[in-house]
Amino acid sequence: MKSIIYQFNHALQELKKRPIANLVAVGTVSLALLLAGLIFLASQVVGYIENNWGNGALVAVYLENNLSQTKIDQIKNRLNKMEGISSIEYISPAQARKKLIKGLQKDASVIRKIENNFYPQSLEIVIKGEKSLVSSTQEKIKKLDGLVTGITDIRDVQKWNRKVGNIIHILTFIGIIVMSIVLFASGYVIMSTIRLNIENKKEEMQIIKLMGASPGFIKGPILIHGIIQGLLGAVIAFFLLWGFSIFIFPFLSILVGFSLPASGIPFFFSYNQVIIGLGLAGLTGFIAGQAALSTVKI
Amino acid sequence: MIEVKNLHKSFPEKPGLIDCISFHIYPCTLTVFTGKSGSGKTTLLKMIRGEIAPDKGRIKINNKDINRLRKKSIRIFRQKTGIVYQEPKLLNDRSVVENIALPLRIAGIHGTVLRNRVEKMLELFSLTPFAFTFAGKMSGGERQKISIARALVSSPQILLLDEPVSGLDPDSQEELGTLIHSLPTEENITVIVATHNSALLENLGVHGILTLKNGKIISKPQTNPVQSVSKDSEIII
Repeated sequence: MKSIIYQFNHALQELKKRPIANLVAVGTVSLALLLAGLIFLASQVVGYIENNWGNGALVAVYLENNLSQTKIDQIKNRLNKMEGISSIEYISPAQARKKLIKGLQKDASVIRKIENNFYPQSLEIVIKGEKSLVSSTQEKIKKLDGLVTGITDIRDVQKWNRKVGNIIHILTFIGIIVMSIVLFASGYVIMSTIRLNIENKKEEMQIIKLMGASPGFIKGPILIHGIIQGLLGAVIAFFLLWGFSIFIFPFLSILVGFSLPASGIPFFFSYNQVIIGLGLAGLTGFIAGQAALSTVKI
Repeated sequence: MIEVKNLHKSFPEKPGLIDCISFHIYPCTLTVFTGKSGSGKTTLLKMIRGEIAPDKGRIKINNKDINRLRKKSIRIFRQKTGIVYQEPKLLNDRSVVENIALPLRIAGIHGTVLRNRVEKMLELFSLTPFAFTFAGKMSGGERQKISIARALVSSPQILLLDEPVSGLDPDSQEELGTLIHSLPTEENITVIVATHNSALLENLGVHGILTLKNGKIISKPQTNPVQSVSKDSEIII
C-alpha cells in the first residue's frame, strides 16, 4: 500500500514538473470528453422526450353508419377509461370525405362524386405516453373489434414515435462514433505526453531497473500518470457539463417557453453514468500509458 | 562465496577483454580488482552483478549460477548487491534523500525504518545539510558520496565499487578508504573494489588484489578469508 502511495506521489510530482505539457494534455482530453459528453447528453434528452412526450399513436375506430348517438357515447366512454388516451374525436362521414379529399390533393377529383354516405363514421383516438403504454393501449383498443357491437373495424393510422426514434438512433450512432474517436484521440494525447516523459526519464528508469526494481515499480508511476491525466480530463469535462446544465438550461427554458429543469428532463448525468465516465477516462489513461511504455525499450 | 570459472567476454571493439579467468572470493572479505584503464575491471564487476552476460564461463554465488537465475531472482540479487558506478548514476531531478532511499523503496521498506536508515547514511557521509537538494545540483565528490550512501543504505550482502574515490578530495578519500575497510568485518559485507588508484589501495589494507592485464589475471586474491566465515555470513540469493 505504501508503495502505491509512493508511486502515486511520484506520479503527481511528474505532473508538477512539466505543468504546461500536462495542462495541454489534460485540457485536450477534457475538451474532447466535453464534446462527447454534450452529444451523450443531447441523446439522453431526446431519448427522454421520445419516451415521455414524443410517443403517440392515432387509432381509427370505424362505426356502423346507423349507430345511435347514445351507443357512440357509450363506446367513447369505454375508450376514455383506457390509460394513455389523450383525445377522442368523432369524425362524421362528411368530415371523413373532406379529409380524404384534402389528403389526395390533385387526385381528389376521382372521389369528389362519391356521396357522403359511402364513408363510415369513426372515432379518431390519440394515445400518448411512454412507448410501452402506447403499444399496450393500442392492443387493448384492437381487442374491442368484434366484442363491442357497433364497431366495424379498428385500424392504426399513425404512430409517431418512430420519427423521434430515428433521431435517437442517428444521435446514438453519432455519439458512439464520436465517443470512440474522442477516447482514441484522448488516449493518443495522453500517450504522446507520457512517451515524451519516458524518453526524458529513460536513463532514470534504467538506473532503477539496475537497482533491482520490479517492472511494476518502474512502470507504476507512468501508468498512474496516465490514469491521473485521463481522470483529470474527465473531471474537468464533467464540471463544465454541470456548469452548462446549471447556467445554460435557464436560458433554454426562456427560449422554449417552460422550465426545463422542472420538466423532469435529465439535464445531467446520473451518478452511475459519472462513475462509468470517470472509469472509462481512467482506463483510457491506463491503456495510453501501457501503449507509451510498449514503444520505448527500457 | 563468489566463484568465477573460465570467464570469457569480448566486445567488437575489444576482443578478448576477459579471457578465461577463474577465481573465488570468500564472504566478508575485501577484494580489489586493479589494472590499467580498459583492462576489464568494470566489465568484471558488471558481470558479477548480472548486468552483463559472459560469452563463456560461469559466475556462481553461493553455488547458484547468476546467469541462470530467473528474472525475479536476479532482481532480488541486485537488491542485495549494492553498486557504485564510476560515474554516479543518480536520479538528478530527485532530492538526495530520495536517491539514498530508493533501494529501500524498491525493497518495499517504508516508514520509520526507511527514515532511520537514510538519516544514518546522511550523517555518515555528511550529507544532512543537502538532504533536500536535487542530486543534479551536487558537486562531483558529493554525488559520489550519495552514490555510496545509496549502495550501503539497504545493508547489501555484496558491495561492488567502481573507482569509488574518483572526484573526492584527499581527506574524503582517506575517510572512505577507512569505511570500506571496515565494512567486511563490521557489517559482514563482501566488498569488491575496482580501481587503479594506488593511494586508495594503500589506505584499504585489502584481503586480496586481483590484477587484470590483457584479459588475464596476473595476481590472484588470497584464498583464505581474514576472518572466520559463519553460516550467517554466506551470500544468499
